[in-house]
Amino acid sequence: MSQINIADQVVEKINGEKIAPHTVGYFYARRSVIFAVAGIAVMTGALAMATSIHNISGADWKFFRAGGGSVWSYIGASLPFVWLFFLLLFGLISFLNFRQFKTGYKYPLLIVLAAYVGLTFLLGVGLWRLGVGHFVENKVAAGVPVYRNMACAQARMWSHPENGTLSGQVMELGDEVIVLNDWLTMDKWRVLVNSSTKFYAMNNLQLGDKIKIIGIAQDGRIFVAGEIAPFQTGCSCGCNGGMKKHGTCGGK
Amino acid sequence: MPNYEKMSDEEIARQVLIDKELIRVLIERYERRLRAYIVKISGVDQDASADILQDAFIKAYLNLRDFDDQQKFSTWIYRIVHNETISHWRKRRRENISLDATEAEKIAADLDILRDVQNNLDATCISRVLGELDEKYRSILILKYFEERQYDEIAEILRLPAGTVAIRLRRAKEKFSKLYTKICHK
Repeated sequence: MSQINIADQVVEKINGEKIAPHTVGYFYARRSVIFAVAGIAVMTGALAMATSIHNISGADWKFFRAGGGSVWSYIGASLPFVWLFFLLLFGLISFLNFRQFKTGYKYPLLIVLAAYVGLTFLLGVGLWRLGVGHFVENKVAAGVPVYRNMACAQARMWSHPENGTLSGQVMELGDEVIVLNDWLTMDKWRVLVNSSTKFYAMNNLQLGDKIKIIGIAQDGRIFVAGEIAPFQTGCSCGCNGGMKKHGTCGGK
Repeated sequence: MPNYEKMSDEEIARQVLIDKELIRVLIERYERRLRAYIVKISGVDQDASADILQDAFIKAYLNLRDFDDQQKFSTWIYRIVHNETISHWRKRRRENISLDATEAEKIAADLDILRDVQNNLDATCISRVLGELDEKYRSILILKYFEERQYDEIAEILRLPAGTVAIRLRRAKEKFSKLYTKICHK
C-alpha cells in the first residue's frame, strides 16, 4: 500500500465519520476520576491503618506472656489481618491508578507502595488519635457478621477459663467483685479482684468495659483475677449481653 | 503558506487541531518507520500493518489535546502505535518476523554473534529467534537495536520505570542468546 493511501484513508475516515479530537473537558474529567480513585484508595487505606493501629495498640505482650503465650500465638491474636488485607488491596489499586498519571509509569511498584503505606500511616495515626479506629472497628463488627465472627475468633483465644484466661464485658462492678459476661458461652462469671490483681494499660474499670483476664478458675464460675487488661475488639457487636456461640449478637 | 518542512513534529501536531489535513504531514514523516516497527514486533503482513497504522493515527487524532508540549511527538506516536499493535496482534495468530542482513547485524553485534551473521541463513535464523521470544522481550530489543531508542524513550513508549527497562533488556538479551544457540547452532 503506498504512502499516500494511508494519509488519504485517515483523513477520509476523520471526515466521513466526523471524528473530532476529545475536548479538554474530557481529559479533565478523566483526570478527575483518576484523582478521585487515588483519594478513595488513600482514605480507605488510612481508615484500615487507623483500625489496625487500634487493634495492635490493644495487644499487650507482657500480659500475653504472663498467660503463657508464644510469640506466634501472640502475633496471631493481635494482628488485624482483615485490615492489613484491605491495606494491601488498596495499595495495589493505588499503584494501578498511579500509573494512569502522565509520569506515574516512571515509579516502580515498591516505591509507590512504600509512599502509599507512608501516607496512609501518617493519616491513619491522625485518625486513630481521633478515635476513628475504635469507631470503625465497632461499626464494622456490628454491621458485618463475617467480620464479627473473625473478631470473635480472636476473642475466643482469650476465653479458656480452664487454661486461666477469660474475656468478656463488664456487666456489674463492685469493690472486689466484677460480674463479667463471657462472649463465648454468655455465661456470667464472678471475677474476684484483690490488692494483688495487676491492671495493664487501664486506670479505672467501668461498666461496659471489654477486658481480658489471666487468673484461676474455680467452681461455681468464679475466677480469681491475677492480671486484667483492656480488650480492644469488635466482638461485643456494640450491644449489651455478650455473644451467642455462633458469634452473632446476643441481645440478652 | 507556512513552510511545514521546517516545523517540528510538535508544532505541526498543535496545528492539526486547527487544520486536520495537516495530519498528512505527520503521517508522511512517520509512516515508513512505524510500519517497519509494527511488522517487526508483530510479524503481520504489510496490509495489516497499514490497518494498524491507520487506527493508531485516528487514535492519535482523538487524543491530540492530551499531547503534552513537554513530550516528544515521536515517543508519543510510538506509544500509541505500540499499544495498537499489541492489541491487534493478541487477536491474531502470530506470523514470522522478517529481517534483512543489515538489521540482523544490529542485534547480533551486541550479542557477540556478528561473526555468524555474514551467512544469510543466520539473518533468517535471527528472525526466527525474535519470533520465538515473548512479545515484551521482542519489543524492547526492537526498540533498542532497530529503532535505536534511548532508555528513557523506551521507558516512555512502553510506560515502564527506567530500572525495569534495563532489567527487561538484560533478560531479553539472555533469552535471545539462549534461543539463538538452541535454534541456530544445532
